[in-house]
Amino acid sequence: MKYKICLFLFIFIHIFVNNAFGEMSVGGYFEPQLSAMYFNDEYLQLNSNKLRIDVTSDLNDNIRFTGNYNYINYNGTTDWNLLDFMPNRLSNIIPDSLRNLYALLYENKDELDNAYIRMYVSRFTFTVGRQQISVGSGYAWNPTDLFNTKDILDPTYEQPGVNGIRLDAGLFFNNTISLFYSPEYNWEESGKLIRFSGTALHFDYALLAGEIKQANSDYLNFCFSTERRRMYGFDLNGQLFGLGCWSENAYNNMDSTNDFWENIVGIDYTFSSGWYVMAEYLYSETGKKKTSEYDINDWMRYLSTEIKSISRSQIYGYTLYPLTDLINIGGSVIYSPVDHSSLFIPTVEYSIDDNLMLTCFGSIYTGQDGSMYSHKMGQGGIIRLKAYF
Amino acid sequence: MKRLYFLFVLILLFSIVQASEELTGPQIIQKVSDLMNQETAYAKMTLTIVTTSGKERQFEYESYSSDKNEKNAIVYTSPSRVKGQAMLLLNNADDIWAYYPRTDRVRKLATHAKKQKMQGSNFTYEDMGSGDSFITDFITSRLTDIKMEGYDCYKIELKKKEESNSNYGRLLMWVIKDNFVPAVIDYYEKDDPMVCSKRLLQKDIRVIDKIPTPMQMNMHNNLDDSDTKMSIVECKYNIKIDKTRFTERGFYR
Repeated sequence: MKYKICLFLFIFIHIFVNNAFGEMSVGGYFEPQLSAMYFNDEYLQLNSNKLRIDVTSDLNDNIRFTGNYNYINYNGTTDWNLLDFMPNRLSNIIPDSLRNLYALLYENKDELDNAYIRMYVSRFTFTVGRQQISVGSGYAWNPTDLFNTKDILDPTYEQPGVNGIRLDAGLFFNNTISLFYSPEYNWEESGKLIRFSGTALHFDYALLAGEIKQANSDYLNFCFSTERRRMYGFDLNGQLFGLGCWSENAYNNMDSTNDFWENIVGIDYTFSSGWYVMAEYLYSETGKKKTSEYDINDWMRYLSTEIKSISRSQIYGYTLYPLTDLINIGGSVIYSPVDHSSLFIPTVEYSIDDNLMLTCFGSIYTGQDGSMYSHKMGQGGIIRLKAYF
Repeated sequence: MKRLYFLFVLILLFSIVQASEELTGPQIIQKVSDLMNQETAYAKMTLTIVTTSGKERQFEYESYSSDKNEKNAIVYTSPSRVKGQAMLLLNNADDIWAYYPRTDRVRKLATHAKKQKMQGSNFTYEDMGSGDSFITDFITSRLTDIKMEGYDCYKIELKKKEESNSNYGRLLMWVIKDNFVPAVIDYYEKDDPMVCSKRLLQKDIRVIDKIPTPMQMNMHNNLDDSDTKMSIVECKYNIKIDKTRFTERGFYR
C-alpha cells in the first residue's frame, strides 16, 4: 500500500509540478475488453478493464525517463482450470484431489510495467531499469528472444518489462552492438544478451548470444527446477524477388535437458490495393513429432509460455485489408502440420475516433480432441475498445 | 534612349520566354526534382483524412529529410494512439523501417511496404520519401503547355520504366512555369496506366528559405472519392540534422 501511495504521489507531483514547465508528458489508454466463449456446453464471459498510464519526461536533451503503470480489473469467469483445455486421455489421469493445482485464476493486477531512464552519450545509448526487450524479426514467434513469449492470439501486443541495463553502441558502417544484462540472484543466474546488428544489401542482419535461467517444470510431480540455457542465434530480414522475407534461428545449449534448435522463416507482401498478406513457419525441437506424444508437461509448459509450441512445427498466416479509410478487415490462422489442427482468428478494426479503436477478434478452433488447436478449446471471440489519452 | 531601353527589356523577356519554352521534359523534371529535394529539410505537418462519409481524422507528424530526400524520417506526434510511431525510409524508400513505441520494436519492411497508406490516408510512403524517383523511375516527355489552377504550366507525362519498382504506371504533372512547383499531379495505376487513381493538388505556395513551398496539399482518391489534406505548419530547409536521426538508433531519440 505504501508503494502505491508513493507511486501515486510521484505521478501527482510530476504532473502538477513538471507539467507547469512542460517537461513531462502523460498518456496511456483505457482498454475495456469482453471475451466470450462457448466452452464445455456453457457460454462463459471474462471481462477486463485495463488502465495504462505512460509517463515520459525529458530531464534534459540527452536523458529521458519513461514509465508505465498498469491496472487491470477482471470480472466474470475468472476461475479456470487448465486441465479442461487438455485432451481427455491426459486430464483423466489427474485425480480430482489434485485438480486445483492446475487452476488458472485471473486476479486484478496493478504493476509498474516499465520504468527506465535512457541516456544518449555520443554513439552510446544506455537504458537502465525495467524495460521492454523486443528481439528478432519474427512476427508470431521470436526464437532469439530469451525474455518474452508472444501471445499467438495477439502477437503485436506490448510485452511486459524486463529488469536490466542495456547499452547500444553505434559502430562503423551503421552497425550496432547491444548488450543487455538482467540481474538475478547471482551472475550465473542473471540474463545476458549480446547482439551485433547491421544492414547489407537491403538485408538487416543480427548475430546474437545470450543466456538465462530457464524454468524446467515437471507438472506431474510438481518439481520446479531451473537450468542454464545458452542461446546462439542469427536473424536476417530483407527481401527476395519482391517479397519481404525473414528468418530467425537459435541454437539452445541446455545444462541438463536436450539441446534444441528453434527456427522461423517468414514472407510477406503488400498488393497495390493495400492488401497485406504474411506467412511464418516455426520449427521447434522442443515440440513433439506425433500427437500421441503430447503429454501433460508439454501442455502445461506451453500454456505457461515455457515453450513456444507443443508440436514440432507450426504455420502462421496473417492478412489485413483496408476496407475503408477507417475499417480494416483481416485475420490470422495458425496451423499445426503435426496434428492438422488449426485456429482461425477473423479480425475487424474500426477507428471510431482519432483516439478510439474498436477491435473484434474471433477464435475458431477446428482440431480433433488431443490436438493443439482442438475444438475442445472452445469457440468464441473478443471485443476490445481502446481509448488513448 | 527610352525606346532603346524598352527594346532591350523586350528582347530580354523574349529570350527568357524562349529559353523556358525550349526546356525539354527531362530538364523540367530535373528542376522540379532539384526544388523538391533540398539537401536537408525539416517540417511539422498535419495530415487530415476526410472519408467518403465526411468523417475526419487528423494526424500530426514531424518529417526530416537528408541527402536530397534520399533519407527520410517521419515521427508521429499526435493523436495519442500513434504518438511516437516512426518510419525511416532510406535509399529513396527502398529500405524501410517502422518503429512501434508500445512494443519498443523496430521492424524492417520490404520495399512493397511503400505501397501502404500513411495511417490509412491517400498518401503512400512512396509519395513521401521517393527522392529523385521522378528522374530514376520514369521516362519523361513534355506535352502541350496549359493553364492549370490559374497558373501557366508545363504539362509533363512520366511513364514508368520497365525496371522501376514504382507503384504508379504513369504520372501527369502540371508544373508552374514561374517556380517549377507541380500544381497538380495525376497518379495512374501500375496495372492499367489509363486509370487515374489519385490527384494531388498543391496550393498556397510561399517562399521559405528562398524555396517555393506549397503549404497545402490535397490528395483525392478517384476510386473511393475520399480526400487527404496535408498542411505544413512549420518548415526549414538546409539546416543541420543529426545523422543519427536516419539510423535505427534515431528511433529512440
